[in-house]
Order: sequence, then structure tokens, then C-alpha cells
Amino acid sequence: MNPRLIATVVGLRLRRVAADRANLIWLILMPLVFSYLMGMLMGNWSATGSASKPTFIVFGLEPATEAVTALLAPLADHPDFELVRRDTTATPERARSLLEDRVVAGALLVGPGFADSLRAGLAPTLDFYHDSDRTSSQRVRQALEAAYAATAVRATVQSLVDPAAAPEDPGKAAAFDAATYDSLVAHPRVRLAVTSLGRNRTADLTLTLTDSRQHSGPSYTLMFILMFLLMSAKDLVLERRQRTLDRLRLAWPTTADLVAGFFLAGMVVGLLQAALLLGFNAVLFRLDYGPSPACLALVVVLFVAVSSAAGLLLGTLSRTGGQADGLGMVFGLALPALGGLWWPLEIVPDVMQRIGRSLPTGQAITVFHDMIGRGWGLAETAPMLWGLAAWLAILLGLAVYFFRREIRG
Amino acid sequence: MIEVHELVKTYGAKVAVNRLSFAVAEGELFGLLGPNGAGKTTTISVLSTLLPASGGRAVVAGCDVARDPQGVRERIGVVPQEIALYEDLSARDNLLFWGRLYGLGGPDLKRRVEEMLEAVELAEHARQRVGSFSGGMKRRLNLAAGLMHGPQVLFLDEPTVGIDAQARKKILDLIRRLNADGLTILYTTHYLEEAEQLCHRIGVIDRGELAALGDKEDLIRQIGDEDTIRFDLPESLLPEFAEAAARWPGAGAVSHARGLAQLRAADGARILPEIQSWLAARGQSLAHLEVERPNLETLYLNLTGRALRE
Repeated sequence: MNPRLIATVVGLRLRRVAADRANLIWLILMPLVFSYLMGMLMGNWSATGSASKPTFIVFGLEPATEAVTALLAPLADHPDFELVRRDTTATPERARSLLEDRVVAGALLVGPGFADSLRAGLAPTLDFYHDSDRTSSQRVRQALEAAYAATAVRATVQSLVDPAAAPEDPGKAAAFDAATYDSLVAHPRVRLAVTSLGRNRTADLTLTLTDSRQHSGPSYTLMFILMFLLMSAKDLVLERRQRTLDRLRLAWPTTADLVAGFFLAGMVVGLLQAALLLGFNAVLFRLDYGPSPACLALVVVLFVAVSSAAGLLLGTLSRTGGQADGLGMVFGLALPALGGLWWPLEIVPDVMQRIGRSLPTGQAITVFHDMIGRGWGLAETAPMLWGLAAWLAILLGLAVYFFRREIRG
Repeated sequence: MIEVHELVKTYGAKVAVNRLSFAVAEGELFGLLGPNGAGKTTTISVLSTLLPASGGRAVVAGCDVARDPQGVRERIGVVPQEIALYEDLSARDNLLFWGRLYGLGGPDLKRRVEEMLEAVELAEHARQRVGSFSGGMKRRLNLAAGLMHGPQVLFLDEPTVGIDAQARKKILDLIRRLNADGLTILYTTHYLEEAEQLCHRIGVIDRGELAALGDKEDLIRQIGDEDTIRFDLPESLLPEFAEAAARWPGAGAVSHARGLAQLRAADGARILPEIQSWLAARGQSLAHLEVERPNLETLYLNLTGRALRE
């Protein structure tokens, strides 16, 4: 294959997409409008995830120092979960056991000397175990991190302004300044090590998202990527009808170059669209896509690749622009509807959940839900990612086969 | 430069090209003349490697089309009947794109694009979108796109279809210039006058078969260098007329068709007074007179029984 010729074909496609201003409506504007409106329509889900709040246990508490009291105060009244017990004897093994037996949804281990470490200006690490099948790690993490930040900053500031609180360095009070304070607020010294234990997907999983925009943001991004690339199938039909495809075949690119060029052009358009839309959603609606950038990147790349391959296959099989448009519309609406892009799969019957998660749309949005709501990464979402990879292999294989068959005449 | 031997192309049971054989010399402008559906485009598609042949052999610019299609593609330019351009791009951007696909780049590419724009008289419209071009301008740019990489052989598939006389003249002049510069051209058309004016030699093709081949004079000789004279004559007088005509010097066969008597003659103008006298002697006047010089249309009708514009 010749990368230069492939890049030329990709460049042409990008130029043509950019030249048509109507494309901006379908690439950017409509997905954002849909994300926003559907997010507003579906509202806040934090109170509807389950009838009762998930329960959390805090282990290994040292005597109730001021720091510990401050740490737990915001957690005790949290609207999304309930703090039910304190236990000074537990171990990490005990925490795991309680989670596996589904006695609690999360367990926090506060090691001995926590308050002293804070006062000494050290950076203590707390271990948090949670069952990601039952609750959103993001929701808990945000609450815990806010509480830790407040606690850590309070303790550190105390040590700075009160030399008696930092006996190892009585001169610290003189060093306090606004910049140091800001730095401490921005980078709290308490670190939280999160371990997710729930990894078994079942059809009756609870929806762990707290806000409908956590669904509508990625789902309408995925839907419009798929629709745009499926509707682009018509371009290939027009290339064939206007004989530009013949002219391309007569030039230097091989069949493999042309297939790669068309496929990669779709990928570049889709990836740009995904980057813009997911970026806008993150900024405008404060969406957090979870702790694994690698997982986010992989699911986006795989879904865009599947969509591009589907568009190429549709363009190769369609004989007329009308066929390509019609089939593109049918698949562009049916796959999102069945795959849980219009509404979460968690609220549809089991059989429809299974059908939805066998489709690329269902697989991709499930990965997004798991990243956002459960804090899962590559290992936990692997089954869905492999599903997307399988779709990619099938669709791209068929597209290449039919494209080559057509070119051979 | 082009050798075609017993070339066959079938689509299932349908035979599109049937045992076609001809050769085109280097620097020659060769025309394939035939009505729509005669097999001209299929022949070009096979020779340019777009379609595989079902039988026979073809060599273009020294490369076998079946064994070395890439070699053929590097040496040929093809101008399809359709406007195979991107209408949403400018003329310059189109040529830049096609040039890059032929491996051109940098200053060479830019220079070539400007040369081609000048050659097809579109330099002033280089930045204009092709979609806003007239039919003739699109045809000229279509031609330029096929020439970007400086091919040795150019296939032109009906490049003047659907344009006005002025635009057609510009294209034909351009083709003459290209050929005068040494480019070998295979030109398909169903316009008889284009083939007559432009081509050194012509192959007449019908239903996928080569019906005749040669230069214009060769072809006309194939139907005999005789005029055909037609006029009104009651069929009852035809035997008497044939008897009289047999005595006139230069007169040939007599027949009757569509209510008209038909006489073949070496020189129609010289024999007309004889006919007029013969008719006058029988109280008849010379009516519905047609004198037809031998031409390719006649040849085509004789060979295929179909008019070229069908």
C-alpha cells in the first residue's frame, strides 16, 4: 500500500466534507442539540437508580480526631449513599468479603495515624473498595475526594498557621502565603486508591448513572457518527455513477489503497466528530468519562471504525443514491434505537438488553456507561470491546470483499 | 502502440465485444465508429484494464492488458464519456488531485496543472467550482484530467457528447494538437463527421464486431466508388428503364425501393440528362430526385442495416 496515495484520497474526502456546510449541521450541531434536549428531557437520575441507597462501611477508624470527624461529616449526609457502620477491627480481606457477599456496596479503610500524617504535612493514602455492579464509582469518588480535600487542606493550613501543630518545624508559620494555599487546594495531599470489585455483567444491573446527560452525551455522539458515516455511503455510489471511481482505479492507487483511503477517510471524519462532541460534552455538561483514557480512546476508535466499515459496505452494495440513502436511514435509526442510544438499555426488558448488547451501538454505549457510572477500565469492559472488534472484522471484511469483486468487474 | 487480437468480452450470455481485432500505430489517431451500444465503451474499458477480457489478447504501449495492467495504467490516459470530476471542487483542485494520484507532487505538479489549464483554455477559470462550468468547459477539464501524467496513449470515449458546436470545435482542435505532438489516440464516436474529419483510420463497429476498417477512402471503396441516383418511377416501367440504362456508359445496377427507382452510376451528374430524356419520351417528369455520393453513412447502412444515430 502507498501511504501517500491513501493520504491523497483521505484528504480529498475531508475537503469535500468541509466544503459542504450542511455537513456541519449533522456533524456538530444536531448531536449537541440532541444531547442537550434529551438530557433535559430525561432529567436527573441520581434519585432513581435504586429504591434504597447503597450502603458503605468505613473501616479502621482511629479515635475520632478532628480530622476524622471532618472527613466523615460530608459523607454521612450524602444523598446518594448511606454510611452505616464503623469498625475498628476490619482488614482489606474483610472489606472484600463484605462486598462479595453484597452486604455493603463500598468500604473505606482509614489507616492508623491518618490525622497525624495530615498534621505532619505527609500525603496519606486511603483504600476504597467498591462494588461497581451496584453503584457508580464516580459518584462516590467525587464525594470522598471532596471530603478528603477539605480535610487535608484544613489540616495542612493548620500546620502552617499554627507552629504548635507542626512541632518538627516551628518556623513554618512564616512561610505561609496565598500561592502555597492555592497549591494545596488544587492538589490535596490525601490520595484515594480505588479498587472495583464488581465485574460480572448481568441483565439486571442497576443503572449507575446519576445524570441523564451521562447517557445522552455519548449516546447521541455515537448515533450521529454512525448516521453520518452510513449516509456517506451515497458518496461512493456517486463516485461509481460519475465514473470518478473508474478514474481512481486507472490512476496509481491499488484496490487496497482505495479501500484504505475510503475507510480511513470515514475514520478521520468520525474521530474528529467524536473528539469535538465528547469534548463539548465534557466542557458544557461537565461530563467525566471515567478513570481510563485508554478505554475511552479504544471504544471511540473501534466504534468509529465499525461505522466507517458499515458505510463502505453500504456504499459498495447500493446501486443507486436512493438505495444508499434509504438503507442508511433505516440502519442509522434502527441500530441506535435497538442498541440503547435513544434510552438506556438498563430500562428495557432482558431480551432486548441482550439483543442491544449484541449490536455495535449497544456495545459502545455500554462501555460508556461502565466507564462513567462504574469507573471501569479496559479489563472490565473487554467483552464489549471484543464485540466491537468482531463487528469491525466482519463489516470491513465484507466491504473489502464486495469492493474488490466490483473492481474486478 | 495498440494491438487487439480476437478480443472478446461477454456478460453472461450477452456478447458485448466479439472477436475484435485491429492495431493502432504510434502517433495515429484511430477512430472507433458505431452507434450507441455497439461495444465502443466496452472495448475501451477492456483496453484500459477497467474490465477483464473474456477472450483474445490486447497489448497497449507494449504491456499486455491481462498480464500487466499496472504497466498499461501508467502509460495511458482515459477520458470517459461521463464528466468524471468532482463538481464541488475547483478546476485547479481537481487537476491537483488527479495529478497527485499519478504520483506527481511539488513544483512539477503545480507546473503541470498550470500547463493543462492553459492547454484547455481554462486558466482564467481555475478557481471556479466545476459545478458552475458549462458543458464544454467540463468536457475540456475532463480531457485535461486524463492528460495530467503525460500518457503515451489516450483513450477518448465520445468526448463531445452533449455540447454545442463551438465547444465541440475547441475540443476537436485540442485533440488535433495533441495528436500533432505525437500522442497516440483511440477515439470513439457515433458522430460520423467527427470520425471523417479527425481520424487517420476508422474501425466501424456494430454489435461488438468490427464491420470495416481502413482510412476514409478505403472504406468508401468497399461499397464501390459509385453514386446512387433515386427518382420517382412507376414500378411497371422499371424493366424498360433497366434495359435502357444498360446501354448508357457508366450506368450500373438498377433496383426499386420505397417507390423510387435506384440506379448506381460511376458519375451521377453525367447520366442525369439521359434519365431526363428517357422519362420525357414517356411523358414522365423527373421528380423526387436524390443523388447520393458514396460516404461512410452509406457504408454503415450497407454493412449493418442500421443508421449511425439510432
